Formats: sequence, structure tokens, C-alpha cells
Amino acid sequence: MRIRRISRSIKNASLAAKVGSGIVLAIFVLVLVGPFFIPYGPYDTSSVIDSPPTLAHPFGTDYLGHDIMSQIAWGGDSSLLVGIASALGAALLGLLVGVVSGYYDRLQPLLDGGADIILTFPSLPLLILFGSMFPVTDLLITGILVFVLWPPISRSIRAQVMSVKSRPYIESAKVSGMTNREILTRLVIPEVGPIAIAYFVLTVAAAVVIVTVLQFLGVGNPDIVSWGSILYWSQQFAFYRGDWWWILAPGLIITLLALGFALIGFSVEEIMNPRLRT
Amino acid sequence: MCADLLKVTDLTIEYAPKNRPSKTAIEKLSFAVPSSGYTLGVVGESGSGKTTLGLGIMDLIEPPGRTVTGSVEFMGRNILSMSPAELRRYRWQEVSMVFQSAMNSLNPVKTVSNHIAEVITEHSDATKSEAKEKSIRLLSDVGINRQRVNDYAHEFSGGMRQRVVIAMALALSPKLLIADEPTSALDVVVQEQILGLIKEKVSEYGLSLLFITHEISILDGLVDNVAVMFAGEIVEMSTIDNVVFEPLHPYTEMLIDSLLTVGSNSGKLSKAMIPTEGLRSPIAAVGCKYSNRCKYAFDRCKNERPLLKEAEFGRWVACHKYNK
Amino acid sequence: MNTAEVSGETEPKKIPLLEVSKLNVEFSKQKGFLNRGRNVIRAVRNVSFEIFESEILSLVGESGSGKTTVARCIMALKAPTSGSIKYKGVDLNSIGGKKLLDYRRDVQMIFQDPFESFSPRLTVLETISYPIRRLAGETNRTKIRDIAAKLLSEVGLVPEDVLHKFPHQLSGGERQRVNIAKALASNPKLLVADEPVTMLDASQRLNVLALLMRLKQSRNLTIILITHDLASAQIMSSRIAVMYLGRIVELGPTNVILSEPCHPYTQMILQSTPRLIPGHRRVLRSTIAGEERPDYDDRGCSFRPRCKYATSICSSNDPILELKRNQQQHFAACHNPLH
Repeated sequence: MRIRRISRSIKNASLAAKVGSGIVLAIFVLVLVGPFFIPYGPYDTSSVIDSPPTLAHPFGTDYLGHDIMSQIAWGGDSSLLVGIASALGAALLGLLVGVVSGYYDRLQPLLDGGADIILTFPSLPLLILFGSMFPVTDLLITGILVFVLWPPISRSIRAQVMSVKSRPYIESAKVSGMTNREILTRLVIPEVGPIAIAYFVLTVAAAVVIVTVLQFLGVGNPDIVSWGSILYWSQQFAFYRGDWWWILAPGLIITLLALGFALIGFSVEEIMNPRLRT
Repeated sequence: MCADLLKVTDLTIEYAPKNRPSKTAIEKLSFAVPSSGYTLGVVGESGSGKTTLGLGIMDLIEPPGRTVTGSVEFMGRNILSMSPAELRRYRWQEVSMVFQSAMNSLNPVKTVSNHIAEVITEHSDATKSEAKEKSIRLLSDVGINRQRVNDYAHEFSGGMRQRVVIAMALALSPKLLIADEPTSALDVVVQEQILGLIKEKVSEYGLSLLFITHEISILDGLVDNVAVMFAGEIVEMSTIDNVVFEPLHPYTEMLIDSLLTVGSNSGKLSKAMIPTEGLRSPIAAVGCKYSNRCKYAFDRCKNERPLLKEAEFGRWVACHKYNK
Repeated sequence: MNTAEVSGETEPKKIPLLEVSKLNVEFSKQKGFLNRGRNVIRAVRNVSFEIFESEILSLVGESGSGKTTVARCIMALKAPTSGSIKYKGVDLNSIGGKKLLDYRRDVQMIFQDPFESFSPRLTVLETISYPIRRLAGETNRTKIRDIAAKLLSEVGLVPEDVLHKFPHQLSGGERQRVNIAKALASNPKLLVADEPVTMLDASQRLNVLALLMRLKQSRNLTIILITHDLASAQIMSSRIAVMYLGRIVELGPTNVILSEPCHPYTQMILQSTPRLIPGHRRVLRSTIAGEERPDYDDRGCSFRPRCKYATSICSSNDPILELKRNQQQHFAACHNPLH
């Protein structure tokens, strides 16, 4: 019954959500399915060098004749995977900590203090530091990003939980004999869940950007194709060769991805809230 | 023969929010405040349109609400067709308003005298120092002494804040004061004080008063006349004695019957305890809006909407019982 | 002559259903390790009263009087700073876990706000199912639905119209009736009704109060009615306790308190309550008494700043609630009572 409710509201979702989903879906298709259809491999050089976008090479080619579209399609999965995984991890962890510290007063100082300390860490320098000390794997980057990204959402969730906690229907639920666990799962989390989901959606884009920046700075192996690696090479060679499409392609893809997620994020609340639906 | 102070004719205001069906808040409403010194209480429950009426008279209806038809004439001039400059003169100088929420919407970073001084400088030609002098006098007039004029809103209790709001409303000596539930959030003793203050100032300044409320009993001693609203229309209007002690309209009768006042309740509870048939029936879409709930309803009521007519001298009712 | 009359007692001593003794509730204004003591709000001060089976007692007071805090202590939603609440002789402080669930079965609450007291995400059926499941112990879904339907009919609603709806699809009066149905789910003995009709339209109030009275009679309920409105208290209750700034200042039978109040505060609110007497329009007073300043100082009577009968003893000695008129069991906390 609940699933029917949700699918009905997805159909009624706003234009923004539909456009956003469309953009994100298109990028996903490119990354997941593209590699099977694009005739060139990402490492295949060719004689068609420095070519602006043409029908044969929609995103153009670089100084060695690599097809940039193929590079984008093949190189995207690490960025997307890390982006989604770290955003998901951060949102879930932040949700958990926020709900617990908001609902159970006794744990508040401890969890709050922890969140505060982590908030002061500068994420990018930290990542670069780790990148230089340990072998950089997707897992490592995901782990650090989760560690750095969960505090903001937990504060937001905590504030919201505290506000929900004081609403009369929570007291009414206690008086009706509902256990704390039931109150949290059926009443509190559905109220604050949308915030976590919205945060997840917006954070994916941010995480993807951070990963790309790391790859661009040379953390990890720039010889393995990824969105950041494209920028690593294009930053060195594209300017004096005049290959503007070489820089545009990855930048545009990431911007579109962020835009798509932002549009979806704005509409999430509408889907989750019954009052706005009917 | 001079025009009525305020004349509302066929005013219809509706709300049309996005993705939702539109709702008519007031429908073809007509009444008049004939002269200065006339005090009228407007009584209605939630959904009766009483607050919309107050806002409509001040031309404060914002989208998704809009005024569909009708006119609001103040001393002969239609408010709804005024330019913004004329409206700025109209509001605060001719008609001013005291809302319920006003006492909680005072600017936390302005002193109370500044609130009043700014009303004066923005809606008239007074200088800043004249405005400040006047604001101190007004505050003292409403019972706030000189020592506190430079305090901030949060330093006052609810009742005192409402006094500041009243001082603001009186600042430019308007001809009509509209009050919308100004005392609902106050304790009963403070409530009497504020009502007493309003009554005092209304007669002292020679104002007319339009007092909107959902509690008819607080109008006791405050207004001379009462209009009862139901589903966006005025269904009865007369002196307060007539309306409260000899109601004509069945809705008014029901309201008075369900009044809870100290000292007069023998038997009321037992009568109310007789179980009635289920819930309140909905407001009728055709004919008299109250007909679905009215124990006197007959055929004409279901088909024809009754108009507000003078059934006896000084007694206006919108009901077919009196429409022969 | 029976033994009671011989020994001078007029009636056998009844055992109260609920006994509140010397209840004190303090809220600290600021949380912090270094800020203790000074910034305390004493919301409830030394409140003691009893309530007997089948009676309706009104706790009358305005905002800040502490009446809602007392209600929350009785409902075990707030732990008092000191004092005790005994239900059928058992101290609330000493129970927890399963015994608390038993208590909740017997003592239920009707909440004030007909909108905010429901989760916007649960239908009426889902909301009522919780007490039926957790307190009445019913697990079968069909039976739960049947019980819910019966409860809704009992409060004057048509179950089929209401069960599947969300709170925002019902009117205020309907929601409040659902609130009452929910409170009755576990067959309670004592109901704490916190301003049950304050947020309803005027025409609905009498109907809902009448419903409460009908239910009280059919189910032999005991009710504590919390209200600021003397008229509701008069029509419903046999006894009234008047609260001011955390204390009970007057306690006694309804008709006596409303016709011959002992405490100046009771007199003050009585005089300000409109009565609508035919042919007698009231004269509004724009100045009545001093501005209220919540007095956290323990010395003297907290009503003194507003009292026109105050004498010197009122500044130095805090009056205690004591018997002023024996025949009527009328108590007041005042050095200069009016009767």
C-alpha cells in the first residue's frame, strides 16, 4: 500500500525532479552502457588528433587521438561509485548519529563533541596527505570522505529530531505505550529521513567533485583513465594546443551531474510528505 | 447626506492555491459602518471568512487569495482601486488594524517607541522628533510609562506588547480601527484590560470599531452591534442584545445555545448529552449554506440562497423564515 | 445513630484513586556545568491534592500556572523534582517497565492540540492501533480494526468515514473525538483531559464536553479536567483546584468556589470572565492590577504584587493551603481570605 502511494507521487513529481532525473539517468547510461557501444577504447590512440567535436568523435579527441567520449564513459565508474558510496555512507552515518544524539539526551555531549572536532578538519588536505602515505584505492577515498562528510548532516538531523521530539504526538505515542524503538522508526525517522535523503542527493555531486579533484592533482595513478585524469592531462596540454573541448567535456559532465542531483534533491521532500501530496 | 464611513458591497474573495481546488472565503458580502462611533463585533467560527474580511477591507489580500468582485468604499472612495500612494495614506491614517499575532511580530531590534515613531514618519509628514514626542505620548496614553519607552519588545509581557500595537494603530488618529482577535492569546484578566483599553480609546478618539472574534462573549460591554458570519456570508446583524438574547438566524441560535458562560449553565450539559445523528453535515453548495444543518429547513432553503434583509427595524437576517 | 456519627465523622474516609503529595517540579533555565542553582524555574510548588473515584476535578489556571506540568507528572511523562504521586497507593517513582505499561493502561490522557497530537504520517486506524496493541494487548489485525471501529462509534464518529483518513483530512472536532477514542482504547480508569476543547470552535466545545460526560457515566471514569475556562470547569466538575504560579491557591466544591471564592485570585478571574447577563452589559476595566512578575523568591505570597487585599504578613510569610471553611471542605492559601 505504501509502495503504491510512493509510485503515485513519483508520477506527480514536479518538472524539476523529472528534468533532474533525466540528466542523471543519461549520465548513468553513458557510464554504464556506453563502454559497450562506443567503438573506441579509452586507451586507443589514433591518427585523428586534436579534433574538435565531430560526428565520429562527439566529444572530440586529445593530443594523442584518444576519443574523449570513450574516456568519459569508461572513466566515470570510479568517480560515480566513490561519489555514491561515500554520500550514502555519510548520510546513513549522519542519520544514525543525529537521531541517537537528538533523541537520547545523555549521549549528546559526546556525539556532538565528536562531530564538532571532525567539522574542523580540512577535508582536501587530509585526503592529499593520506593519498601520499597510503596506496590510494577507491575504498580508502570512500572511507575518508564518509568520515569527513557525516558531521554536517548529523547536526542538521539532530536539530530536527529535537524539534520533533517536543511535538505533542510523540508524547501521545509514549502514553499509548509505543516503545522508544517504535517511536524512532515509525515517527521520528520518517520525519527526518527526507533531510538525509536530500543531503545524500546533494552530497553525491560534492563527493564526485572531490574525487575528481584528487585525480586531477595526481593522487592515485593518472595513467588510469578517470574524469580527473582527463583533466590532469588536459590541464598540461590543452591550452597551447587550443583543444578547448578537452577541458570542457569532463567539466561539463560533472556540472550536469551536480545540477541533476540538485534538481532531484529539491523534490524529495514533496514525495515523502503526505500533507503535500493530497 | 454624507456617505457611510465604510461600505462593503458584494465583496467576494477567494483563495486558489496551486494544485488545489479554489475556495471562496467571502461571498457577495455587503454591510456598512454608517458613522464614526459605530462599534461592530464580527463573530464567526473557523472557516467563516471573518479574518479574510478584515484583510479585505485593508486591501491586504495576497496571492493565492484574490478579490473577485465587489467594492470597499471608505467615505465614498473605493479602496480596491486605489493607487499604492493613496493606499499608504489610507492605511494607518484612515483605517488601522490590530491583529492577534501583532504582539509577537514586533521587531526585536526596535524599541517600542521606534515602532510607533516609524508608523508616524512613514505614513505622514511629521518630522522625526515630532514623531518621537508623539510616540511617547501615545505610549503613556495606553498605559506604558515614560521609563519604558526605550525598552525592546521582548522585555514586555504579552498584554503590554499588545498595548504597544494598539498605540501604533492609534498613532495617526484613524477613523476606523479593525481588531482581529487581539486578545485570544492573553490570560482572562489581561484580556479584560486590553478590551477595556480599546473601548476607552475608541470612545475617547471618536473612532469606529470593527472587532473580529470567534468568542461572542468577549464582546460584552465592548461593542453595540454584532454581525454573525457563516461560510463567508453575514447571516445576522443587529444590536448585541438582540443577537445574543433573541437570535433570529438558526445558526446564531445554535451558537448561543452552545455558549459556555459562568453561572448560566443549568441543564445545558444534559441537553447536549443527548446523542445527535453523527457528525456535522457539510455546508450546502446550493441554496442556503446552513440548510444541511438547520432544523427549520424547508424546500425553499435547499434551492434559493437567502439574502441579508431587514426583517424588523434594525434587525438584518439572511433566512427564508423571515422572508415571507 | 451509627458509629460514624457517634465518633463525629460525617462520612467514612474514602481512599483516593490518585494522591499527589508535595509535588515540586523545577526546570533549569540554562544547561551547563557551571550554571547551577540560580537559574531555576519552579513550575510546580508543593502541590498536593487527591482525586476520588468517579469524580471530576478541574485544575483551573492560566498559562504559567503549572497545571500542564502537573498533568505531565501524573502521566509519567515528566519526573518531578520532589514529591510523590500515588495511584491506588503505589508510588509512581517506584515503577518502571512492565508496571509502567499497566499504569498507562489505567491512566490515559486527552491532548490539547487536535492537530499536533497526531503524527501526520499515520492514518486514524494506525494511530489508534498502537494503544490497542500495546496496552490492551490485542494482536489480531481484524480484531484491532473492530475495536477501533467500536471506539470511534462510541465517540460519535462513523468508522468507515474516518479510519483510513490522515489527520489533516479531518476537522478539529473530529480529530479531538479521535483523541478521545484513542485514550479509551485501553479501558482506562482515570482520564487526564488537558484543555480538551480550548482549540475547538465555540459551537463544538459543548458537544465534546457533553461527550466526555456521557463517557464518564457509561464507563464510570474519573476525570482530571485541565482548563483555563471557569465555565467549562463549572459545567463538568464537582471540585475545582485553582492554580497560580505553580501553587494551588484554592480548592473546594465547584459551586462554592464560584459563588463565594476565598482567594483574591479566584475572585479576580471570576470578575474578568464575561457572563452575558440579559439587560446587564458589563463595564470593562482597563486597569485592574499590577503587572505580573513571576516571583521566584520563596518569601511571601506570590500573588502579593497583584493583590488589593495584601497586608504586611503577605510579604513575609508564604501562605499554605489550609482549610478555611470546614463544612464545605474549602481550602485556600491566603492570609486574608475573602470568606
